[in-house]
Amino acid sequence: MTNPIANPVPSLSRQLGGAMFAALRFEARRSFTAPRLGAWCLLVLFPMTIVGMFRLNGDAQSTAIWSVLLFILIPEAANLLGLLLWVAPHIQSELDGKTWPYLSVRPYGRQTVYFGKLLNGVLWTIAAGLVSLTLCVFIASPLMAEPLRIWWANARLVVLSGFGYGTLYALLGVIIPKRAILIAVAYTLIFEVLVGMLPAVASEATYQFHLRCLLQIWAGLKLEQEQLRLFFSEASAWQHLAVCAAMALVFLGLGSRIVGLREYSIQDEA
Amino acid sequence: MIELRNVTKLYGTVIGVNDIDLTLAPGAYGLLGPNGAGKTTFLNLLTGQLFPSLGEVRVFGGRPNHPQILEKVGFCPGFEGMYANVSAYEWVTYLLELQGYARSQAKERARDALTLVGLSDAMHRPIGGYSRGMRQRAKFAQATAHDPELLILDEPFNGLDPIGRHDITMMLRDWIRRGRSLILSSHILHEVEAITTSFLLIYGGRLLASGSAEEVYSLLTDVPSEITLHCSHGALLAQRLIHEELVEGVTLIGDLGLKLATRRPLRVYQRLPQLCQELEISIEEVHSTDDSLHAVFSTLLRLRRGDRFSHAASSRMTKAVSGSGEDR
Amino acid sequence: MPVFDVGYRPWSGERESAWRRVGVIATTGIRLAWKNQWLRRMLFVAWLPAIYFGIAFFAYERALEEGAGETLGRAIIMRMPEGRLTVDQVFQGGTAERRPVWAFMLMTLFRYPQGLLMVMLVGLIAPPLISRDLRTRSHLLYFSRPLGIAEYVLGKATVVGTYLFLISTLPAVCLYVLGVLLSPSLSVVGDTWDLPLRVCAASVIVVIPTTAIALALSSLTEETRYASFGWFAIWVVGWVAHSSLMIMDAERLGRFAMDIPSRWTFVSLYHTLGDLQSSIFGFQVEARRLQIATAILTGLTFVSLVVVFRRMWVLHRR
Repeated sequence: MTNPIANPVPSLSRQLGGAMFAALRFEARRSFTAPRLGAWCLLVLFPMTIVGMFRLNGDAQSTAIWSVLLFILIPEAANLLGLLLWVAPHIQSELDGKTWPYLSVRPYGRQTVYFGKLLNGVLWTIAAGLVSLTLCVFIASPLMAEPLRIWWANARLVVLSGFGYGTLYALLGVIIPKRAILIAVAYTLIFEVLVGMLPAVASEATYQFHLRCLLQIWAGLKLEQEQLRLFFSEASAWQHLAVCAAMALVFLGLGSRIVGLREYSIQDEA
Repeated sequence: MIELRNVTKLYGTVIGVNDIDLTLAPGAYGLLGPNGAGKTTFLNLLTGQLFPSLGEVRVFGGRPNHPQILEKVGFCPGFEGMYANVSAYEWVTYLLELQGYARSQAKERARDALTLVGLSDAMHRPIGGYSRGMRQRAKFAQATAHDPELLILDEPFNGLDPIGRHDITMMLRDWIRRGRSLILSSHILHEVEAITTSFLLIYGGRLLASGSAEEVYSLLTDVPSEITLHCSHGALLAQRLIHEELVEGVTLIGDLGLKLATRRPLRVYQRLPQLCQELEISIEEVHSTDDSLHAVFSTLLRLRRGDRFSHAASSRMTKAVSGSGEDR
Repeated sequence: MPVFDVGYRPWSGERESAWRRVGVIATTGIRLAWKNQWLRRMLFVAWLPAIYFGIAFFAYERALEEGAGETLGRAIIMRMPEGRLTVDQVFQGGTAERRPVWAFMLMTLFRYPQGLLMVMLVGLIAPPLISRDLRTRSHLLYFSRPLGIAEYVLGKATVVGTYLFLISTLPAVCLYVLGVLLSPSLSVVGDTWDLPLRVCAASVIVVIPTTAIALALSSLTEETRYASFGWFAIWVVGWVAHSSLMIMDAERLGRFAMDIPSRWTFVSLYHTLGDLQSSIFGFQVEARRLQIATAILTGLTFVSLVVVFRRMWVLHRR
């Protein structure tokens, strides 16, 4: 085999950037299958079904209730299910399929595959969330006072939830790849749900707390009862956004570091 | 090219490789050992898939999983593990892009590599529809497409038919002729012999010996061959063979079995029919241990245990084993 | 000698019964699952809620002796999930009765901490039970033996059932025994003898449909992670749907969601099981809800078993 191209490997930054984009493109193409599309449609339909039932009931509700409801259904539940399916087991899928050794012997192969698969899973999830949100608002708009405000508040939360929880689940997936989904579910239940709902300082360490506060600010939820104020904070939206970004970057950094340092076995476990 | 300094790899309490100390210059090497010997662990240490529990591994002077080192290494694992719904062309192109090549370059190289391995017609078909031989070729293509300096292959002949084995052998010989380095693992001596004359013998996680084929076979000279017989009057036959000084030692196995240790196996075979006639003995079965890998390993293990051999054989083997840390 | 003599055919002894084969599959599966350190950790954690409830039993029994039983009983019940809905039902006529308090505490242990652990445990051990056999083609080894599909499925189901028994039935029964030991006299057994049986009945209600669903998911894919995801998705989707619908109902009625009876339990497997468990422990559940719950669980069990058997039959034939 002749190689007329002298010194074909480009600079490191181009290498990394190109490789990451290649991983994303490859994973995106490979993931465009009927089962994936079917699961995507189910994720879109699930919130729509619930909202459709309310529409049939014909109960007009306040902006606050619709905002909270759509927040629970889409940025929280549907997004988390999508990330659980497409992001948490990203390393596990390569280990189970025994494709990991081919990827990890490439320069920065581990990190580029990590980023590529993470981004692919997050984009699929966010796409499902945004489509579902749009359709839900469309279905329920006759019962809503401010459909656009509700849509805009939750659309931003869909994106934030996708990236934030995506990086978190990806991190869990590289720490314990063989039980990624179970660990992600356990983490979500214990920290994001139970600890996150405590009216205490501990809840501010959860991603859900900041999403909740952003919902309150963006949807204009009024906290008239004293007890409700315990579940929110008085920080501005930018502060919460900064914390969300910082958390996502920390998860991302930790995940990419760990994936480069750990040994991964492709043997089947007992 | 490769340096292992007192490398041990533990899987919990199970030893993968045990205190391997080895330096290899650029060249082609066959890593030989039975199943479970530690070959795959050894290769995974060289490619950075595994990290040593003790000791240090250096490839091209650096850590095996360093990106600059990985640019120079091509790896062909022992199992398949390819995406079934992706074509070989897309797969090799993707891996080249991960290697750092621009897309256009990656496509061109992928095409060249797959043509070289004989997959030009099938490269655009999904890998899921490939035969075993085609998958091995695709694996070989992805390992060589970026023109690495060192190619590491783990049992590349597994599951291949004779034509497939021949084709892979030719490709590897061509690779060596181009001045590239190669480490190839197998548990079948003659497969490796067809490609390289330098061997690393591994067993139970330990590097037992390293050297050329001549040095390996010289271990067999002066070492008794073993012949096992099932016959009607084992003791009588044994008595006669000892009397005629055709055997070094005899072990009786039950009433009907004999294990002979002899330095003159050909003479024994020639004499057996005559003895059967004279003594009116019937022989139901005769077989000898394979005089290739099994015999070599048996010999080396016996040396390690301290069994007695002739002085010449002992010193040759000692030199071979203690020289495992030296450059060959 | 026949050309195709494979060695074991000349053996003329008697084979063990089919149940023995089920036992072999079950014990092997239990032993393999036991090697998982996460499972051992979960089994350890599964007993911690029983300790908490044991303390509650002790406090209640002490209060009964000192004549403050009803007050303490109400205080304990009110702090438990659904306590507000059931406290009057439990303390009818204002008389503190040991039996309904015990029943309520056992049911709460069963439904809440053990219910959550049950979901996690099954999510840990059930997905690989059949999917791994499919991926490694070891189902071919199973069915090359004189083994029927029913024996295979029953063996696998026994693995799940055994561990569910360890984390739900056994702690609840031990809690009952602890309650008896902490009470002033053994006459309490006369009032509460049926509670262990109700615990067993509630276990059966949980184990059968959940095991069937888990095995169905495991049989549908070679990838364990998809079976695992499917299992958790069922519970999450159901719970979220139920919560959302309850929020809307509460908003419409101007009350808290926790304070109104649910008319949406059928959308959530967890709440459907809860209806039947409440009924088994002697608490009133609307007859219509019970019928719907029974129909749903029976239907799910049937469909799941059909899926498993059909899948194994198709693979067996290949």
